[in-house]
Amino acid sequence: MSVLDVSELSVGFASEQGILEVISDLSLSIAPGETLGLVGESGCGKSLTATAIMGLLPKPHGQILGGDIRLLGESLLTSTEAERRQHRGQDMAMVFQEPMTALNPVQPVGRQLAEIYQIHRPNWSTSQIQSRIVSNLKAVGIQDPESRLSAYPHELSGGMRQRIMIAMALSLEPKLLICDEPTTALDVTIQAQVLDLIRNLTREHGTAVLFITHDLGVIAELADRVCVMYGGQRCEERDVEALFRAPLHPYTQGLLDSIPRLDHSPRTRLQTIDGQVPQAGQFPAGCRFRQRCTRASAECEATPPFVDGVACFHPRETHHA
Amino acid sequence: MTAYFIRRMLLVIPTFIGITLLVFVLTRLVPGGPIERMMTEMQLAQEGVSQMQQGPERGGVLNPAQLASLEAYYGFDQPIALAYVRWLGNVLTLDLGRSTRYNEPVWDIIAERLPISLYYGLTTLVLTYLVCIPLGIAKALKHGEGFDHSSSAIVFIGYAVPGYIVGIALLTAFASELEIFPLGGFTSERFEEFTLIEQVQDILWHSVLPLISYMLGSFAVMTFMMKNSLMDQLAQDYVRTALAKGLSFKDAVWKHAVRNSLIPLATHFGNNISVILSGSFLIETVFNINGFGLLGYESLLERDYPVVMGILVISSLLFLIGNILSDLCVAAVDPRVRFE
Repeated sequence: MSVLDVSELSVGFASEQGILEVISDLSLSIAPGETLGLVGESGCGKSLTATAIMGLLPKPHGQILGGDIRLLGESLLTSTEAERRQHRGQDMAMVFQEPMTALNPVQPVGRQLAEIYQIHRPNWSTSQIQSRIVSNLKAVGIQDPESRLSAYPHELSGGMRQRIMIAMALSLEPKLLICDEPTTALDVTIQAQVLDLIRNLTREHGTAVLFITHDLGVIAELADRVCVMYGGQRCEERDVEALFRAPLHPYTQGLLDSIPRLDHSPRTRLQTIDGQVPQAGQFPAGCRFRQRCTRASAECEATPPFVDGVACFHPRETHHA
Repeated sequence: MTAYFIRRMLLVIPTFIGITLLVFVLTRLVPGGPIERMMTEMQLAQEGVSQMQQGPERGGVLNPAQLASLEAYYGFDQPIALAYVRWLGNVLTLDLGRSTRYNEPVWDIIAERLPISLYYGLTTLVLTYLVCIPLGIAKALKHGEGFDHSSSAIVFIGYAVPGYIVGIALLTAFASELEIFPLGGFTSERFEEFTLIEQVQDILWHSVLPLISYMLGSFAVMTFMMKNSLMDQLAQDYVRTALAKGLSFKDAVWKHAVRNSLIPLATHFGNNISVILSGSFLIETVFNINGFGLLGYESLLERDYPVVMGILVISSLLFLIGNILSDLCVAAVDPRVRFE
């Protein structure tokens, strides 16, 4: 049984023009121990997907319009708020993009780390919690964890804070870990360390990971499968190797072409995708990429079905150059 | 941190000298003073007499010798610098001089009013925080709902109408028409004969209407500062982190967002102390309260410079200490603030 099952999820935002559908018919599933990479440009709805799964959509504007989200077979949309709260932190946890702001600035980190146990393990004694936190911090590679407990977030570096966020997220060994661009705000050298850490800790515990990023390099390194999103829709979802070797959807190809590569001749122009990402509410009918797509035809005015890992009427069969 | 506050305390000295020197020089340079005021009064009295007598010897009320002795009496014959140094020396020994109007020590006049101003100032301050913080929190949590809009309307009306107008309206309604509250004053006339409990009741009874007038103005600023600050904090990432841990929204607000949202209010704390202690002479006039505001206003009109300077000494010290208190408050609520 998969850990996470998102089926035909639609998410909208209430605005002055009515409800804007930002995510449409998105389906995902992640098996235990598997890492699914979710990629796409800014504004394609990938972070919102994570927020919707965690049940943290901004209220009252964010609304789930349809579909279902199942965690360990149990629907999160029909359960009560109290039941969802039980899942948060315990069965599913999240690491956010900005370690600088994700911790409460006026509380020592030790207290913030202890809180998750106080919520979900109310019977545990303070010393029991304390020793667990210390071992968790050791596991994420923090030296001398005892002395860090009384530190305030501003006294720690970005990399250190993100390690603390990871330790916090993994406190109760959740079945699902959602990482929303956890390395984007970090230095490159720290990025690699943090990625290694996430990979090792989740492999160790068989945690399913939903890894959100716009960095295809990170995906190649970390993910088992990749889901590419465009305009709130899934356009391609396949095994990471297959997708990188031979992307099927024109948008995926465009994304891969826009990465500088060593085997290309130096000082040539990088490929870009012409046009701009349409705003939510201004999506064209049918395939949302068709206005920027070189292969678009009249056929594309209908919504392409998702078949064999790709939602496109003209998937490329040939190898990626 | 300690070094910083010691430095701040030491900085109070030059600032204090600067403020008092400026005002002292101004009192000497502006035309008119206690002597001129007395002369005008005498002149007015004499004119009444001389008009009846139609006497020939009109003109100066005082001869130059009298004038000089008066100036010597008030110390106006000395050069400004010397006079200021003398005055400052006296202040250091807690001697603020004698009022030219009442011919009483300034210290006594101030000491008589200070408890009244302190009582109103501190009560207003505490009540304002007690009401504005919970109200601001409630408004932030119910943003855009009926409660938010209706309380905003009331708060804005209170902000738009000056305190003394509110005072007059309250007096007319509750003291004159309904006779629930007294017409003014700090205590009843027979206050001395009351038992302690009756005295407390009496003061409270007298202070309900003035306190409402005092508070209404500061309500809007504090309430909205609290509301906006909390709404800002609720949108912060760390609140989302707290929710992601499995904390309920209510707990995330109280355990995480509220303390962060108090930081801007803490920066205002010291300012509020000094502003509130100086009182409002209009409200004091309406309610016939003998506080600092009224005293300052009257002594300015009467050119009672020793009293003016005495009030300035106390209010500037309060202001300077209030600023340091603000810093202390900020450092207390925000661990990121470290004064070096």
